[in-house]
Amino acid sequence: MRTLLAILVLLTSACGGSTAPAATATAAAGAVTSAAPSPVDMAAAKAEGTVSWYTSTPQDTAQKIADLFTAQTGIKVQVFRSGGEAVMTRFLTEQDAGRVAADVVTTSDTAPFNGLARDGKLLKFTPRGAEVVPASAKSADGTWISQRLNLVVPAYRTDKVTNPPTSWRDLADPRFKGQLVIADPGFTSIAYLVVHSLARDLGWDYWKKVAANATMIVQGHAQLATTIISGERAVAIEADFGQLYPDVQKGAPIKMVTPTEGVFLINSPMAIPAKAPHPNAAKAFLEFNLSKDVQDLFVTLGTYSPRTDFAAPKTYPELKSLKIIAVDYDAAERENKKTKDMFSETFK
Amino acid sequence: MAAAVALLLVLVGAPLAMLAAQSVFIDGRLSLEAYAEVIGRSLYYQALLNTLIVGGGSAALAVLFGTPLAWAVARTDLPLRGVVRTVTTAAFVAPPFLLAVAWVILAAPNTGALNRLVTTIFGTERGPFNAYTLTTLTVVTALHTFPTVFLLAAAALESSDSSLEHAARLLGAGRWRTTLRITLPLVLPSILTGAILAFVTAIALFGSQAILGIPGRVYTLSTRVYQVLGYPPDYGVASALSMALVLLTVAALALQRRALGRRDVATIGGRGLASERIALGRWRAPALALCAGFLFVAVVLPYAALGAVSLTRAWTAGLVGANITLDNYAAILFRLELTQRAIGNSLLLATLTASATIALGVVIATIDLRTALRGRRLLDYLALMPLGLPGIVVGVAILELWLRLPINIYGTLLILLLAYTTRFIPLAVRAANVAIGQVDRSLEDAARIGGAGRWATQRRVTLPLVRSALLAGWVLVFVPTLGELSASVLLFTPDTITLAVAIFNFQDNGKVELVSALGVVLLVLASAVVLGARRIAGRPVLEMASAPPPA
Repeated sequence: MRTLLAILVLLTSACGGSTAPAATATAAAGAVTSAAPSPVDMAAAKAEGTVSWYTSTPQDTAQKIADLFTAQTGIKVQVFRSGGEAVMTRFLTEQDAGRVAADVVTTSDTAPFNGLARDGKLLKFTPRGAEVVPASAKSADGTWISQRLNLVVPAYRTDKVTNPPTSWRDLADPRFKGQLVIADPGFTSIAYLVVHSLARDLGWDYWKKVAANATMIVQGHAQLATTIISGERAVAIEADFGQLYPDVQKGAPIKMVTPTEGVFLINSPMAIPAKAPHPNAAKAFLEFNLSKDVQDLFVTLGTYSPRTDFAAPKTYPELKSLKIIAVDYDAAERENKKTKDMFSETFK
Repeated sequence: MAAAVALLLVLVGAPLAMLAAQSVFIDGRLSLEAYAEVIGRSLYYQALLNTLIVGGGSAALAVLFGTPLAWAVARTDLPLRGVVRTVTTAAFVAPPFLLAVAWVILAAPNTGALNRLVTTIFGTERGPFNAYTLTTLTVVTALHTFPTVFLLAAAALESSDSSLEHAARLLGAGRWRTTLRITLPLVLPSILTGAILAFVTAIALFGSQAILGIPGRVYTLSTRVYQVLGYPPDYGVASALSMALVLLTVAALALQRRALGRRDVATIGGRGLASERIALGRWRAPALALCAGFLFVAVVLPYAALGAVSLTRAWTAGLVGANITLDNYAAILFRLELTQRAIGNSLLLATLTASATIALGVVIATIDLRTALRGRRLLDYLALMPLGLPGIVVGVAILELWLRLPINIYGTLLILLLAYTTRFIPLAVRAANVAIGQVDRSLEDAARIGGAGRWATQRRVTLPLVRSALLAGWVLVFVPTLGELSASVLLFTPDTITLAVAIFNFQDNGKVELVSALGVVLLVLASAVVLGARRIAGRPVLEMASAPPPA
């Protein structure tokens, strides 16, 4: 069954891959510079035989990547998937307890990775492919690199919303009362970064008004997507659009909003803990995530590739044409508890 | 004796002490900061208020549902009484968070099956039900706790002396008057006990409160504890909130003791004097319809919904044609390594926990009932103390304790085993007490006089006599352990993930179909164990012990 799935994935990515060659012109902001790739000792990786991946990559995609990797290398992948903040909490608790079980960690909040890198808790590793990833999507010291770039925007049901929102600020309008849904910033990194940045730009008063619109709270962005696809709610405040994309491609009546203030483009850093139990398999797996197979998969599924030699997903604007709201990762890390307390207080 | 006390201190005393310490020490110095923060913030008052409403409201509803049902089964000639009893006890088997998932499937405001049924039939824009409200949370909680009241009330009704009722009848009181004035007061202590146990269970139900509460922004103490332990974790506030939950539980249990004196009504209900059944006459059919209707909504409908969804590709598309699939089962049983591991871990942990707690329970009960050792009451008291500890509190306490001890068991199955043992030792001790208490001492004395040693007596005389009662206790621990969520959700790692956590995790990921399939697997496993034990014991095991499994 697993092999069958892997073949299917290969087929889909092969079809989707036809977009890649045309993509060489695409370039994200930022200069592309990189250290020479560190070699991966495949024999040692295969001897380790298994890699444990703590990730917030959407469940099905994560499983596909894992199965594909196993099919190509014979190395088993243990996938633990949860919300980014939940994944990071678990990893940090385990690290504090002196029991690191994760070989590769992926979430969508850069800040904790920078902190871990400062404390020397991450392995330095430059995978093949890093040379075409811009500086904005990797760390200068070679401790983390982005797996994908998530386009985060409001999204709505075209069959249920006649007067759709045009900006983030618009979502505070009472006309959306009872229609809104947001993911829990205590659970997912992406929601946290959006809440933090918009509180900075629009003030907490904005979130108070959004809360007053009887906004529903779900845990993660997968649940957020389900809530919109099933029609339980009509407007997603901050959809990780990749999670809606496959259904949209199949004709679901869902559209993204390109807000006047700009969109969020959120990195999903991957890193290897310094004390990872299977460091060689970890390197092989991390590098695999940047490979053509996996990046094709992401593009097919509606997520931008951090590699400049890949095209934008079909129907998406080119990366360089996006107006992007800047995320202040250092401030987000410093003000984490305060922001979440405010959110709890506002959405109680 | 000393060993037993020491073990209990490690299992129960140390985590509690750690919890208390964590709530008053911030960064290594004595401080009431955590309490000040909890007391100073209105969102925690709101959480407390919601907790009290869910607890009190659901306890009242549990009495409202459970008592008439018990009366009908125990005291009237209602047809199909056995079926009614079996269905009610079956509600025990299911972990409460599955019931919550089922009610999301049925009553989500726009996509819930019941709401869509209503909108389709009446052409209205919206259906009447909303899964994500305080009211729904309270009602669904009551649907989990009413069997507690039912079993206690039924046991009391069956064992209470009916001569008082005869006397009342002879003195000219009518049937209904007798029931209200004589029977009800006789069983009131049991109902009260049931209500308080229902309250204590309800306020600790983390899973239901998270699944039905959070989307509608109805937060409780349990869900706030879970939330403050997110990133970055705040152990001080989590501990202070946990202490509030402990105080609530202890206060409720103290209230029960006070109201009832020191009488423990929660024992196996032996059948008392044959009491006359009330003939319902022309009310037989309506009464049966009422019972059946209620049990259909409370038990059959939610599990049928889970079963149906587990067979679909996209649950909102319904159980039709191309949408029907067995792939969810194929995925969780054969493809996904995580769920395979979760099933294995949970089965192993439930077996170990049930065996360990029953063994410990037998030792403690034997010391308590068969020796005159000083301090044996303390032992009993220590063993029952976790009744006052909601699962999430046990999770917090164990996590804090073992993260700070040099012995590194975080991330192992052992830490889960310790947490489960702490949580469920009261059930085991109680079951062992009842089991051993029912053996007449003279049999043991005869064996001793005949020359058998103490342990030979235990092994050859007592144990065979109490075997089926202990088996009942074993099942009573096994079933809730298999579906334990509240403590596991804080203590698991991907290696040691359990069934309940895997289900909760899928729910977070919006995978309702996989949640349902995994839920069905959990129900099948639990039912298989209950039925297997029933076959071995020769009688229904769950009804043998009337105390409810805590959440």
